[in-house]
Amino acid sequence: MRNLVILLFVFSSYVLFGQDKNNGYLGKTNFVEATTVSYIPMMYNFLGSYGSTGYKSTNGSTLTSKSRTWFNTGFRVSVGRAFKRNFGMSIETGMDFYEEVIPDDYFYNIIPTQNEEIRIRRHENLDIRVLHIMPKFHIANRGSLLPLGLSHEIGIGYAMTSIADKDYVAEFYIYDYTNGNQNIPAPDPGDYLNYERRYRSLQLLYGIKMRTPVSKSLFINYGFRYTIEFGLGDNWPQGNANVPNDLTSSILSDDYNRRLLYNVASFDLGVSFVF
Amino acid sequence: MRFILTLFTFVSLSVFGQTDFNDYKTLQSKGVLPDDFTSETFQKIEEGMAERREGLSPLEQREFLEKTGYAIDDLLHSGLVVYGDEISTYVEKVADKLLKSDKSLRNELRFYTLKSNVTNAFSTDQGIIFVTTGLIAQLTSEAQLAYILAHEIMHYTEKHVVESFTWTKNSKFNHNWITQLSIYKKDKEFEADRLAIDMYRKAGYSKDEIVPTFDVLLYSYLPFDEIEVPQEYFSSEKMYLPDFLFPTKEYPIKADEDADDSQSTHPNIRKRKDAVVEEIEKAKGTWKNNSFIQTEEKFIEIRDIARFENVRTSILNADIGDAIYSIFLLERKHPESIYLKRMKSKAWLALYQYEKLGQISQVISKSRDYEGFSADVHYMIRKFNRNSLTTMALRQVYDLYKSDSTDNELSKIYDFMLRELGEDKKFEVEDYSQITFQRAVDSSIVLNEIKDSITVVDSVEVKESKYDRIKSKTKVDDNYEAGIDTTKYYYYGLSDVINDPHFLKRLEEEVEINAEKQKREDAFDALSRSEQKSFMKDHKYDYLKIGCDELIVVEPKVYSYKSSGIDNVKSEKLESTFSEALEESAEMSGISVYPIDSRSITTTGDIGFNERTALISFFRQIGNNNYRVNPFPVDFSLLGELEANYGTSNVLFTIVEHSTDADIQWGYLLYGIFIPPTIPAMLGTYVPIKLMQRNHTEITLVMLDIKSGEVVFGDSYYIREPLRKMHLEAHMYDLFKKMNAEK
Repeated sequence: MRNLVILLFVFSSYVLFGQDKNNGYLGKTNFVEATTVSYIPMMYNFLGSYGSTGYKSTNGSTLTSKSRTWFNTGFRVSVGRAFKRNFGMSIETGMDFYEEVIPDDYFYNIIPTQNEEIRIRRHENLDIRVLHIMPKFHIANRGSLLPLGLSHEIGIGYAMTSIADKDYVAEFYIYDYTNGNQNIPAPDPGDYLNYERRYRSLQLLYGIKMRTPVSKSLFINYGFRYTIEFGLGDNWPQGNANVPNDLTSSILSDDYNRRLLYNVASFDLGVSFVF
Repeated sequence: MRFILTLFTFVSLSVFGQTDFNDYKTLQSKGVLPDDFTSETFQKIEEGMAERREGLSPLEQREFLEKTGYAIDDLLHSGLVVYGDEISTYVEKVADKLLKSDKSLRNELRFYTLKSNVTNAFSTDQGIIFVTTGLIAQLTSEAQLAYILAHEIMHYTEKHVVESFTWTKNSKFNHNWITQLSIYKKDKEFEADRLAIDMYRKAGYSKDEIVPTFDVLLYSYLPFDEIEVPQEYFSSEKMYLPDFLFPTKEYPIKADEDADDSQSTHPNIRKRKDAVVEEIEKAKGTWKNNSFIQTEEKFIEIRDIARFENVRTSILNADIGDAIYSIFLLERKHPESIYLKRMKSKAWLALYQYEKLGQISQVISKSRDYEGFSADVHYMIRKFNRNSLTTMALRQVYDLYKSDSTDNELSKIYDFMLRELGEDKKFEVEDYSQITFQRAVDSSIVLNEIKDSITVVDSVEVKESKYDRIKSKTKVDDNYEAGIDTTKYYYYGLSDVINDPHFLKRLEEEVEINAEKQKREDAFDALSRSEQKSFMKDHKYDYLKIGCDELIVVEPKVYSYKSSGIDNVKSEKLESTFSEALEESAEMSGISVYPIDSRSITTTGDIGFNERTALISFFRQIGNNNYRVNPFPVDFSLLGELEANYGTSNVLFTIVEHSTDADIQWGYLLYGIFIPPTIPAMLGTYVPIKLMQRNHTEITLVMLDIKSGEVVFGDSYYIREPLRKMHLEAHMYDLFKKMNAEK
């Protein structure tokens, strides 16, 4: 990580000095952006090992089935500066929101015995939060006037994934080989989910964005972003459903692998304020 | 101030009437701007759609109106068209005679002059009849003009333009299509020729003038007169020109009355003559015998105006050989004309500029096109070599300047010439003799000088074969016997010039300026590659930094392309939007802008229209010339007036081009057949990225200095952004900020 920071510093020093003054958009080169991020988890839905249907709770108690999620969203806020007419930098933060499906009859062994095991019959989808923080470079062609117009974005960032703290509705039962299944009251989600756990990953980004002005200080921005993620070190989730209070790891480990591979493309739409 | 000048001009013309050819000024528009020039084209199209056209669907009618509307309006705003000028007024008077019994038709028609050397007149579906200065210059009587106008009026009344469009739409394209089109068009010409006779007769013109009108058309590609150029016109005591520079044979005129017209839109002259003769015989009613209804003097004056315009147009179009021949023709009648002197000086300057580039063939005719006496001029110029043409051009520019050194324009052209000479490494004062050719012949000293320079003679670039050289030497017997090598005649051509202290001082200054420039270039060359790169990076926009705080801006020309070509309606609407963008961005960046555009002329009237015309003409002149040649402005004095009015000499022209093309190679999707995962990758990555980059906009800027006649800078900026006002505003702001800065 330290090497990465040094590399970024060297690169930015190289491009920032000794260049012609950028007049930007009517003399403005700083910008703050708020962007919604939307993506269709197409690959996730079709290729995910759990399928993509799940449950939502109604009235905070009963579970009703929910169709596949076709549209996930998030947001990003960034602040940046165009140092040259075709080069700028920004720092971006934001969150992605999506739901994670816990499959029916999911094995969850809190108190393992020889003949029986506890299973989740149905579980409300988990709300997953991914917190991002990412420095980005904005690169455009020679005639451009950043932050105006079309630019390519390259970023290397950091993401933290966690489960949202919420009273999830679930149905549990004891699976008994000999005497048959027996419903049991659902434990508190906090007993089997670890809300504090954060999974860290490194994100690489390529984006293409158009900023088109609507006034002398406001742009509409839109574009596409493509990311890939790499789990960082010992934070890589290790699935172990046998560990009490750590269903989080078990569920997220699979999800994580899918997300790393599949949720690569998203559509951005937002506003930029230039000053 | 401008009002007083206009008033003065008006009063002068009213009182004196006659055109002063000695101090001629190019044709200017006068009076209230006609609606043709002020209405937006898309509005005219909507108005045109209100009236249904027979044989055309609404869609086809719109296509017709768009095609003709934009073509005509482009012409009206091209800077080539004038209204209310002496020629247009004269033409209108002839039209009044022709249409005296049809007032409503007369009121429908508008007549404008088109400054073009092409001999032509044409009518449009909108009721505009254009007459070129090239046509007027060729005519020999008012009656001929009347017949041509009657012919064009018939095209209008018979709706030939729209009929031709309908025919083209309804005809099926086959291998014979061009021939069929040719037959159709020729029928329309015969019809117009035939119907025009009655209108012409009723106006009181002579039937004897009709057939000669076709002779005018037959020889219209030649200059407006056919007179041999005497050698003495170019050769003088100061600058002797040997015989071998002049052709020994005459170049025959090849025009054929009975030329093959099978693929032509017009019948050949023989057929047209035969048809009208037959029609004249059949014509009922009495004929009068007028070649002129207005006075012959008036016709001659108008024709002379057209001929003066012919010279101007030749210079503007960089047809320099033609310009020199036309000047020769006009100087016979107007030897004291300062206008002709200025044009002549510009022509020789241009010849020198082209010769310096080694591109002289761009401004004179090809030898295979030589016809008539005008060929003599082209022949002579082609025979000049680098040194002799330099000498001759300087000789001419110098003499013209000396003939009236109080004339600002001649003086500026002379300065321009000196600047060009200062950059010319091949021009050395020391190469020239202190005495004239004649004195050299008379003097034995000269013989020694020639002997000394005999090696130089051998290396002289002479664009002729060994046999030509032998022939030329044998032709100048007198001088050959005197021991003078006539191939080095230019050696004696500047004997007075090189003794003129003012010339030497000015030349030295120019040489020093260029030596400084050279020093800087050498210093740059001495840098390492990385240093050069870094220097270039740091001084990338230096050329824009001209410290400009005032600017004349001509409206941007916008070309918005769609798949089938230019989207004229969108382009036109964007033009006015971008004019506003230019003005607003200039204001924000601290530059005062004076717009001269088709919007502002609605308030500035003919003054604004003429100013815009002068600027566009200069821009056109630059476009017509080789991009490495800085032409001296053809309308220098008008531009000078403009500079005085606005207080700035910087004029900015902008061209914006835009197209959308994502350039998606859909064939790549076929890979998906073999490698299925590539389909989502293609649809999710390749296609969106390509779509994001579909906008292609190019902004071209050309800044002219109308005072010096130089292009200050010209550059294009490519951006991948949509064509919207605020985008252009931002880019123009950036450029204005740079222009506003000092180096």
